[in-house]
Amino acid sequence: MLLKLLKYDFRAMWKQFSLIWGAALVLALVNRFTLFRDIGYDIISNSSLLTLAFMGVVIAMIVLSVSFVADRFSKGLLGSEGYLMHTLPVWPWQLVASKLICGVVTWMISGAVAFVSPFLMAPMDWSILMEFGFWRDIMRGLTQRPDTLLLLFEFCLMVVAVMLQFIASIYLALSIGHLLPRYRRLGSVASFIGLYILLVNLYSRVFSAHVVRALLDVTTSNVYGSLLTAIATLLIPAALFLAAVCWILNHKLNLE
Amino acid sequence: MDWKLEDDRPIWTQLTEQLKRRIIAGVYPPGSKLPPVRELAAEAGVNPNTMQRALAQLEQDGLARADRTAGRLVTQDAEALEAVRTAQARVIVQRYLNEMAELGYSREEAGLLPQKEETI
Amino acid sequence: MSDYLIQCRGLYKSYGLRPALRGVDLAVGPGRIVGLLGPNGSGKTTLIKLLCGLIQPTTGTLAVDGSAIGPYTKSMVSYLPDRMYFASWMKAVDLFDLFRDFYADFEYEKAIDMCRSLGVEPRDRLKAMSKGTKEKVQLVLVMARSARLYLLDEPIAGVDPAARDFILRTILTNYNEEGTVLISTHLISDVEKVLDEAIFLKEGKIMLHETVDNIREKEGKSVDALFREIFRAEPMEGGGF
Repeated sequence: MLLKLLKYDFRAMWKQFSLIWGAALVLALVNRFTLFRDIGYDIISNSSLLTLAFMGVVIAMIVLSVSFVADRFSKGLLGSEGYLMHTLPVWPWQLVASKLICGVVTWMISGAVAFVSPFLMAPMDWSILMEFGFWRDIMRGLTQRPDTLLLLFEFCLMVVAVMLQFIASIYLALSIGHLLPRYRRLGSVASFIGLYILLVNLYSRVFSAHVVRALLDVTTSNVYGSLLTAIATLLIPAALFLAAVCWILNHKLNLE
Repeated sequence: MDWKLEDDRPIWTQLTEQLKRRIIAGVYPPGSKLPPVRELAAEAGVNPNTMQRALAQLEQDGLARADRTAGRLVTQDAEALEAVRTAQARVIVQRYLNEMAELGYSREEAGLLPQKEETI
Repeated sequence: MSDYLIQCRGLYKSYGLRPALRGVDLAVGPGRIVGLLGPNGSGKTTLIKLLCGLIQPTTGTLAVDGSAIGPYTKSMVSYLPDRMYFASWMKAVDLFDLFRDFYADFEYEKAIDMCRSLGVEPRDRLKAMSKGTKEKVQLVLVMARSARLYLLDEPIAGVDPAARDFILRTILTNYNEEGTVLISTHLISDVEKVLDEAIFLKEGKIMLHETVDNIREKEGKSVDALFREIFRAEPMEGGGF
């Protein structure tokens, strides 16, 4: 059932994002051929307008990604589309999981697009990618220090954990707002701020100077361990938040 | 023939009456197959359970019988059909006489009137 | 399996301080068409939403086919809400796909056939459809399932009398005969003929739960007339005359 929900959520996501991702990449490519050719000749040229357009698209993409996550949850599960979703024969946690996975993937792709497009824009010689030597050097580097890959992997995990925590906070804030009889939007914003104050307080209290020192001791001996600890500290509150979201959807759902 | 339903009586009894009238009028000839419950119900715009009850009554009155393969068949028993026809006719006559009495006609006058009407 | 398809005990629901249902006890068997009748604000929609799990009771219990509301009961309930629930980017066929994915009892071909007979083009974008057409799509989604329990919230409010007949006929010719249909409405004279049972709701309580035949036999009047008598004191609010 979760897979079927994902199929539906990803289709909705694709309808909304295919255009903006495409636009970002296309504008980046166009810039590549106009921007660096014109340099030094005409500063206020088409190319700078195009650069502006590109930056606009990237900013729009970021804004859209954040609002997409909030929107899919509040409209899809707490709004009129919830009439459809909550009458499907699935558990509330499946609905939440599907939205969550879709949200994380959306952010990752948006991040990737934002990350890749400057490279597309730069006047790089792409033929280098086709050369054997380039890849051989990379492979050699990796085999000499295999732990780099692991570190990279852990770093990616941490980025995902950050996203999960952020999305979980959004979901919980929206769910708390949903509990109110009125001013739900305001309540959601307030509880989002409240949740972050809570998190910061929690972290500052748990990670007192003493604990940080202890952690640093571990860190010096093992960098992987410290990254994993960081991931765990991000994921534990995220998991608690999501559990609270599921509880609210299970017991307090109020589609009036 | 339209299905007419009044407000003050159970619907199923009215449906039985109207089914009988249709059988006598030859809408459903003797020995023919009656439409399925669902179809009849949709046609009359009533609940299938109600139509089912009306049809059960029809069977009880000997005007239809359930056949395992063919569904529900209108009876071929001429006597039964005739009995229903007379009963219905009697109801109409009674109503006619009652209304004529209200207009001040005696039974005899009321009885003669239809013949006059024919000759006009 | 349970003898009763719907069972409610001491059902109480309030929105904030405002009570919507005040102690409802109800048992409805399978294979019935039941009218949930009452003026606006009497708790009809609340009861239906409780049965499909869109809201939770404040106190009391309810069960569908002997089970608490959950994925199992939702798999056999077909719900027609009192509003549109579509995402606007979809086409009718996208929704049919969705329903086929999630409900084992959804018949895709039947849905397409019903669209044809209702004059709806299933490949049209929902965004481009008129309100009436969207309502038809929603009706198709609900009636193309052979569900155990159909919950129809005001299916005939806000449409003209011809469309009303049409909708009722669609319901009558398409519902699963072993299933129970619960229709909420305040337009009683229109649905009276199709009902087995009538439930009168007044201010969140059940005033009367009786078969339509019994009401007519005992009272010598139609359900509609009886309804008008019981609710005479209250100003009726019509929905879209």
